Amino acid sequence: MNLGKAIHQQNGLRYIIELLQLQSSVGRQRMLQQLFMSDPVVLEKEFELLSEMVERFKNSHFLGAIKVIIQRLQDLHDIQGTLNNLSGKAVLDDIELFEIKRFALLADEIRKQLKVLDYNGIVISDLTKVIKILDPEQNHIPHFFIYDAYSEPLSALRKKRKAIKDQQSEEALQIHQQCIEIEDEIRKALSTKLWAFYTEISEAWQAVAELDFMLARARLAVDLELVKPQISIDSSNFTRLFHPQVKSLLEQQNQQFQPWDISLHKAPCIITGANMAGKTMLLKTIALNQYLFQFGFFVAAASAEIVPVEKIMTGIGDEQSELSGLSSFAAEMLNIQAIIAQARAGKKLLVLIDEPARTTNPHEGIAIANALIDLLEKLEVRSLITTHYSGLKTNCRKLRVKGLHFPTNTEPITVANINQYMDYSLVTHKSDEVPREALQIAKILGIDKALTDGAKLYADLNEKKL
Amino acid sequence: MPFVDEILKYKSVSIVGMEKNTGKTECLNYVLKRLENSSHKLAITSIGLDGEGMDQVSLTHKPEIHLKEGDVFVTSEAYYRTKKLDAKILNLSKQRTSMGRLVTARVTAAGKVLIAGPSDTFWLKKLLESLSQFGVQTTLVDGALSRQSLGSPAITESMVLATGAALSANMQTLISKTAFLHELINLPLWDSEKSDELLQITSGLWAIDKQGEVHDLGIESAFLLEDNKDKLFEFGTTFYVSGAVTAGLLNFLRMQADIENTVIIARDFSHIFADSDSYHAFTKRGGQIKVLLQTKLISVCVNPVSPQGYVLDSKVLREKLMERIGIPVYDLFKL
Repeated sequence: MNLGKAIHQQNGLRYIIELLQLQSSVGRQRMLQQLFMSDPVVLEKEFELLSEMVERFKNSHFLGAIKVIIQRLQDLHDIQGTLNNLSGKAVLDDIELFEIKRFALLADEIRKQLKVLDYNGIVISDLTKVIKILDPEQNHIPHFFIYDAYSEPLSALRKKRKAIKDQQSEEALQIHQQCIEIEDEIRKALSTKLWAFYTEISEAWQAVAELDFMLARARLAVDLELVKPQISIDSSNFTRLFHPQVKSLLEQQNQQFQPWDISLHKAPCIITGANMAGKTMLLKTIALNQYLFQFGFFVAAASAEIVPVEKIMTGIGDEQSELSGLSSFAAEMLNIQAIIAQARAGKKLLVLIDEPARTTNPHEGIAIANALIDLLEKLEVRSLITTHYSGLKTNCRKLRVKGLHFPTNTEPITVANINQYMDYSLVTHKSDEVPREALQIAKILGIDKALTDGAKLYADLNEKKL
Repeated sequence: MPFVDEILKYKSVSIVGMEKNTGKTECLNYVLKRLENSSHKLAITSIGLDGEGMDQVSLTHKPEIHLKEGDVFVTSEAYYRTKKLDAKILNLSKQRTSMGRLVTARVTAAGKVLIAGPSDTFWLKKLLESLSQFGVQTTLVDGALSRQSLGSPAITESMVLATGAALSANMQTLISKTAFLHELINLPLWDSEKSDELLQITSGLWAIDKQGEVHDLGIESAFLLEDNKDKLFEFGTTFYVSGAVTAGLLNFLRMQADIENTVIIARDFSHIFADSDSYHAFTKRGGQIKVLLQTKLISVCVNPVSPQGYVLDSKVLREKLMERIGIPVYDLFKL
């Protein structure tokens, strides 16, 4: 899977990608082709390179060089078509030769600035020989034509032609024809010389794309206060994990995002908590950060040790599904089946499921959820599952979102201020029972009193029956 | 040649033909020829052209433009490859037209080239600004007046208009049509801080209230007025028409109660498609039209020969037209 595909499957990721400040179209293409990486060694190296760039970004000493590089990247044109012609050993025309010269000059300047940055993570091949071929007058200005300096006979013929008064005369036309012939020979000779440098030019082209993407990721890390993740072998541990988009939204409303501390082991973990306690948001945040990690981005936390997986599988309700058109229960079960199949095949997974079996009757729902957790435990799947079901008979780890704490003063809780009274932190939860705050939350939401009071009567009745 | 000296006072001049074969290209070549020995740094490009080598309507040949050494020109890569002059490439655009990217080049040995420049006004504006880095003092823009075109010559500081028998073989009609266009070119500028905001808007009918706030009337174009009469006056009687100002719109507004206070703001003269009668009926009742982009008309060139072979009396035509519009009129074929 590459990042271009993942953006379409993961809404949170799309938000992050839109914040990436890529300067060139080739940088954007490079970004979309970024692969989902699972190999710890590859990831380690990727984060090392990114970390070095982030350090450059934070150091005001390097701002000038970074600014110049960004400007040069903005000036880049897409020369892929010309590169194809070069690799196909075609004779290039003036426009194509101009493109290569312009690119070589830009790449050369970027290369010099990278030296100022003392950054060795990306190597841009030395194109001075290419510049020399296309810049016989050595003025380092990005313009091009078949210069007089290429050929003495051409230069002499051009002078002779200019001296002729009537440009339409037989003599002038004849000289012009001779000039064209020599120019064509020169284009062929230049092209032949450039064919030999195809690899260098093409590598430089890929390197500037790489640099654009690297710079964009470094800038993002600084802007969003992301952190370099450590690679872990058995458990993922996040401290002060956050969701950049939601954090930014809350900050715009002068509210604070409450980050989570959480660890994930090679087994299922159950999350319970009241409605509106952010359980679903927690799952989305973990999914987003695992994706960021595996695509080589820094992550949204104060610190993070993360276990790389081969596949992230979710049942959160916002994923694009080929199963649409089915009943919600059928779609959900088939999604779970896909997860089980991957787990049985021995794939290293991260599984995040929001309220499994919520779309059917609670009696069988609990039974299905229980069996699913048993199976995930048996298959040793790293998974996080939220539920509202009480009485799940399982020995796996359980966490609870602390939830509402009621104010000591008489201020009523409303939708507007609920964020202040909700404690989103996670605590270990021993019992099988889950908190019952649905009716309270419904009241806060201002739901019709007849409905909430009626529900309370039924709830008390059920309680008595038990 | 007086109007050539005038041209050199401006950073950009568009040369606009009222109709095909009114002598626009001859006009352009004439200016270029007059400046052959001048040290003034010229650039040449075009806007809003379909870029056909042959004129599709009359199948007459679309002439190339003759440039001297040192001139800068901007044309499509397709035309650049067919040039009959030597040139040094100075720049290549990222953006594409239907004929490819635009090449900016400086002539190193005189000759001819076909010109096809930016396809829209905003791009032309950027291009005109960028040409000064190559030492260009005045840019000539081969302009077109076309309902379909997104490009308007009004973005240039000044303008030369080419008219002639191709527009009408009847001298009276020719003079009236030209004089009406002259009137539109001289429409007053709508001078407001909101100008730039309005220029960004490319579709629909908008209202500007007394406080200067801009409101979308939710009417896609002046053509759809009949179905949306109720919405029109919600925010007063100052309207911005982002597209074509049609006879229908003017006729409709003319009948309304508050016609004395009605102001229509158009992008520029080239966006007014109302005929002379509707326009004058509208203004006579007190309605006003203003524009966001204004250009100065330097002079008019006439071509008394139509492609079908009609020939008008050049001297009479020039004199009558000059009398009517009050600016210099030339017949380039007589100079």
